[in-house]
Amino acid sequence: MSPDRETEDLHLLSGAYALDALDDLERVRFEKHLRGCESCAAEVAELSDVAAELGSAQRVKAPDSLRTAVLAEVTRTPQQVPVVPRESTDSRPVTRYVGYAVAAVALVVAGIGIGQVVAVNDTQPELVAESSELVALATAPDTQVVRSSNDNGRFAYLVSQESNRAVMVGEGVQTPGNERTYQMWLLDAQGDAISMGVFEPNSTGEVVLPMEGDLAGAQGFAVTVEPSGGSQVATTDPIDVVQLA
Amino acid sequence: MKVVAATDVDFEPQDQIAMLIAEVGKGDESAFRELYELTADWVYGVTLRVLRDPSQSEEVAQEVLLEIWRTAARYDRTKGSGKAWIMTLAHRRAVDRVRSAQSGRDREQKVFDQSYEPEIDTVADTVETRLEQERVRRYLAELTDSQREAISLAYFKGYSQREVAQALDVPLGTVKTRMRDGLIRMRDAMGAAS
Repeated sequence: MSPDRETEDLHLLSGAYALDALDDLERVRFEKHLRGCESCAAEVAELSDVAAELGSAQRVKAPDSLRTAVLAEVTRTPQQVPVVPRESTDSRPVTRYVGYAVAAVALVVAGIGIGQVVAVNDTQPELVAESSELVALATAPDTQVVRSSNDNGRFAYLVSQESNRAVMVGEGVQTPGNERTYQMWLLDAQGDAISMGVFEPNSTGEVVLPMEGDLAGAQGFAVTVEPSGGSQVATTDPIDVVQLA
Repeated sequence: MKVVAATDVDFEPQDQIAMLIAEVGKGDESAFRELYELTADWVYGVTLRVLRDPSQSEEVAQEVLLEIWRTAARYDRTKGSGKAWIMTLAHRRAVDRVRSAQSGRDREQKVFDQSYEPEIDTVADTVETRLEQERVRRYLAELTDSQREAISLAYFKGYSQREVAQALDVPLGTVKTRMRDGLIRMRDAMGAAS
C-alpha cells in the first residue's frame, strides 16, 4: 500500500475510533496519526461528542452501593499530579509520551512502586488506556522481560503469555532508512513468523509497540526492516531476535 | 436567525463538566461529588448497555469513576469536551471488558435487530432522561439502516470494526465509511438542533 493510500485510510478511521471499534494496535497507530493530523484530531473530538450522546442516553440510575463505594475510595485514592508544567505539554507530545512510557517500564522493571509509575506516564488523556495497559503488563505476575541490544538500538520485550499480550519498548533506535520501516514478527510454536505490525522510532529514537497474539507457545520475536507499509512475509534478515523462556 | 457557522459552536466555552474535572484535578472532593451526581448515571448506564450484567457494570463503573478522580489533572480541554472524556473512559473500559471476556469464545453473530431500543428494560425515571433518549433516537433516525446497524453493533455491543464487517458480511472499508459518515450525519443533526 502506498503511503498516500495508507494515510487516506487512516483519515477514515475517525468514526471507528470514536466508537472504540479499533483493536489495540489499530488504536495505537491511529493515535500516533492523530498527534500529527489536526483535521483528524478536530474530527475525532466532534465525533466523540456524538458517541458521548449515544452513551449518556443509556443513563440508568446508578446503585447507591456504587456511590458509597466510590466516594469512600476517593478519600484514600491518591491522584496523579502533573509532573511537567502543563504549558509545556504541547511541545513534543509524542516524544514526551514515549519517553514517559519508557521511563515507566524502566521503573517497573527496576522494581519501583506502581504509584510512581502511573504518576509519570500519561500526559495525554487519550493515552490513559494505553498507558494503563502498559503498566498492567509490566506488573503482571507472569510477565517476562527479555532485553536485547544491537546496532539498531536497545530493546526490551515485556511478555505475558497468560494474557497473550506483549509490549516492546525501544530506545536509541536508529531510523530504518528512507521508504523503510521496522516490522515486528512473532515466531509461533511452529516457527512461523506472524506480523505484529510495523513501527518507527520517534525523533529521539524511542518506540513503544503494544502487541496481541497467541503467545502461549511462542518461541520469540524478530524484527526486520521492510519497505514502507510493511510486508506480508519478512523479506530481509532480522536485525533483532529474542527467545522467550 | 442562526448566524454562527456550525464549526464555531463545537467548542463549548461553558463546559461545566470540564470545569468540574479541572477542580477535581486539584483534589477538590466536593467538586468530585458534584461531578459524580452529574455523570455517574451515564457511566453506569453505558457500561450496563455494553456489558448487560449489573454486577460487572457496577464494578467497571467504579473503576471508571475512580480513574476520573485519579487522572483528572491530565484531562486536556483542548482535546475534547469533558463529557466526551468521561464517556470515552467509560465506554472503552466496558468494551475492553466485553472483548477480554469473549476473546476465548467464538463471537457468533446474531442478525442484529435494527430497531434502536435498549434491550435492558430501563425505566426512564425522569423527564430529562426521556428527553435525552428521545433526542438520541431522533438523531439515530437520521441515519441509513446500514449506518445505524454498524454504529449500534460497535457502540452498544462492543464489536470491533472487523467483527462488524464479519457480522454484516461487508468489506472493512465499507464499515469504516458507514461509521464515519453516520457519526458525521448525527453531528450535523445535533449542530442544527442546538
